[in-house]
Amino acid sequence: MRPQAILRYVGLALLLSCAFMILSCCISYAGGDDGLLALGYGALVAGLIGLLPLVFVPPVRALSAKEGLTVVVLSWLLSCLVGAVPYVLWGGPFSLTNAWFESVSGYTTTGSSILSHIEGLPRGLLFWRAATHWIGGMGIVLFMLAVLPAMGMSGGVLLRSEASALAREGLQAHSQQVVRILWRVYVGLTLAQTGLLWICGMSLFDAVTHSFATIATGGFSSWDRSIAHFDSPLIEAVITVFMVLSGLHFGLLFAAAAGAVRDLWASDVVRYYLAGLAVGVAICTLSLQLRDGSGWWPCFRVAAFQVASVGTSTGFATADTAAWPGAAQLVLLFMTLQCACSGSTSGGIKADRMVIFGGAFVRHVRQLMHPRGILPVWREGHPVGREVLEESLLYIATYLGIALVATLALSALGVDLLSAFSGTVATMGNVGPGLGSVGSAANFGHLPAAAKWVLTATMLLGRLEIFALILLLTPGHWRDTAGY
Amino acid sequence: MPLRLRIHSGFLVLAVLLLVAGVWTTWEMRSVGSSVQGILDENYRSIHAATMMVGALEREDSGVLLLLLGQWTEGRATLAAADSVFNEYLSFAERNVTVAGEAELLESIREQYTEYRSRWERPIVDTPRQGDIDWYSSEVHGAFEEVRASVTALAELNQQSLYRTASSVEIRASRAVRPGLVAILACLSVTVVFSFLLQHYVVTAILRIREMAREASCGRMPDEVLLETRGELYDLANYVAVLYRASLAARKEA
Repeated sequence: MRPQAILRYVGLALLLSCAFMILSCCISYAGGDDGLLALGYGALVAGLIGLLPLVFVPPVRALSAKEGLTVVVLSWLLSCLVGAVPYVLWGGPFSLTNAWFESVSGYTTTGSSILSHIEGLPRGLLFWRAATHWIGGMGIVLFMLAVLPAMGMSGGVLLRSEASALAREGLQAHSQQVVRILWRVYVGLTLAQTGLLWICGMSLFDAVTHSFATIATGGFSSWDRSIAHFDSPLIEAVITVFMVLSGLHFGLLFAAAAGAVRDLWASDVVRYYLAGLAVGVAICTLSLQLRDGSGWWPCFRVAAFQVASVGTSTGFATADTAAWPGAAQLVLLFMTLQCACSGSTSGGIKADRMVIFGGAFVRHVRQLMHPRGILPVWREGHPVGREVLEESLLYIATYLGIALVATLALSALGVDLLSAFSGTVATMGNVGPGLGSVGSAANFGHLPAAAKWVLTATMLLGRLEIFALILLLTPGHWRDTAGY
Repeated sequence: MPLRLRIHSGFLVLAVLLLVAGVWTTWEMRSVGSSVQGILDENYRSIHAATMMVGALEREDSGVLLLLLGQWTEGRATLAAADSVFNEYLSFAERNVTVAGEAELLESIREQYTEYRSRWERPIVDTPRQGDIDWYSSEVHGAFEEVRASVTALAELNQQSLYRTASSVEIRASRAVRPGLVAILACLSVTVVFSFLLQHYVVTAILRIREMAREASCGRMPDEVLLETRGELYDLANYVAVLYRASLAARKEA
């Protein structure tokens, strides 16, 4: 492994954060708020540390798989670290732990916050929070690939390290083309949503920050009451549509935009994902109506928004879901675990793995009936390879195992069981709000510092799809220096 | 990029990070200092004045009681001394208005005190009022309580402001430490990265060139210059190779 090559690419990731911090500085300066110095020094730290390796290390033609993986994981970790600097320097509710939590939550597009009074933050910092979502949503490394198309062979390695096999499946193209497709869909969706929200009556600042948070399936709002602040069915409808779109595979979205809408509907994962959302909305609407009797429309309105928000791992809120009936809460918990499709910006186990899991379950039952039969698991009209099948089932098992261990840790730290479990799965799935004391109308600020560190670890594990981070922590990963 | 500039860049990064953090911390510390001065100037003196006014009022009340008991000399002396103290500190507080609502409160204190003073200014000893506890209770004590309540409110107003300012000083002090802390961590990271890069691209390159020169002096020379860096050190390695080949050619010619 060549540390100098890794340093070069991690430096580039830091420069990306620096660029967005400078943009946030401009907003801070224009608004005359007190976040300017904190953002300015943050940009200086990110810029100088990012620039130093570029001065020494010449461009690297090819990265090994190990180097690529290390670049991806270190880019995430160091970006989160540098991203916390403006929060630390601004002070207020941001202790070191809180700043780290907010930064990791931003970059991993989790959207969980420690803030009880978001509106008290200067505009520059609010923009920075939203920007961390946008950078993280596309994956810091994919951003680099989009910004620096001259990476050559290194680009392919970084893409393979950043995006899972499932996410790459719908993108049958050269790595540069893949990046271009993802980039166009990402920017296109952001611009379209910003325009629509602006037309619907949001200020330009709110439209941009909320679009950043929606397309990245993040969930940071610039208001204490999140989307409920606007109390506008039109705004909620626009955000709901874009949340659902952002949960789809970007390759399929690109194909649909290019005219191949049938590809979108032909995908069994997409059908499962949309059907799951529809069933979730129906159950929540029904249970809210049965409890409150406040009319079908108000119940449908909040249910549709909250189910889409949680089911796409966004995490915006228009209602306090901690006060919802048990059935509706269970639907939300399931959605928190599953989330949306691979190849999107969402987190969680992902609908693709659930489809494979369902297929494996059905196959097992059929295999019991026909012990000698050769029965493949089907997905997208093709039999699923043994490797993908094993990886998917192992991922689900590991995911749930880590969620249980983290829940245990949080409970040991004095967090009640519902908050501990829902908080863990909400952070690990990069969803944001959980239930109980960490519900959609609450925040994570009251949790003990150690619990916040546990939750940031689950956020990173969820974002990096577990194995990348575990591999980096394995001593053997660093010991073997050959093979590039 | 020239080698000199590359080496300087590392130190420049460290210097800029430390300089900016240092200036920021100094500025924050100065503002903490001025906030502490503000607490003293704006709040503490008003609180002290209010405390002195309450003390003076209580002595005036004792003076009135002495007059009620017929002790004219002691009573008048006590009242005159306390009145002087009260007026002195009331005037002081009026010159030190710093909190919103303080001026209005002081105005009402002056009015209430004038009213209270008018009650005991008139003769008491050798008049029907001497020993008249009912008159004291209904006319004097009520007015005394009113002034005292207002003065206590003045003290509380300044105490609240003092608490707020002290809290903001605490936040500012914590803020003042943070740029330094971030700078320390950032500089440590830069030092580690810079040391590695210097080691890899400068020290290792020099050692390889030295090894190359040693090999050349023994008559052996690699065909390729194996250096990751470009620039002066790469040129130096090439010059060594050229020199070796030239000396080899000269030796062959000889």
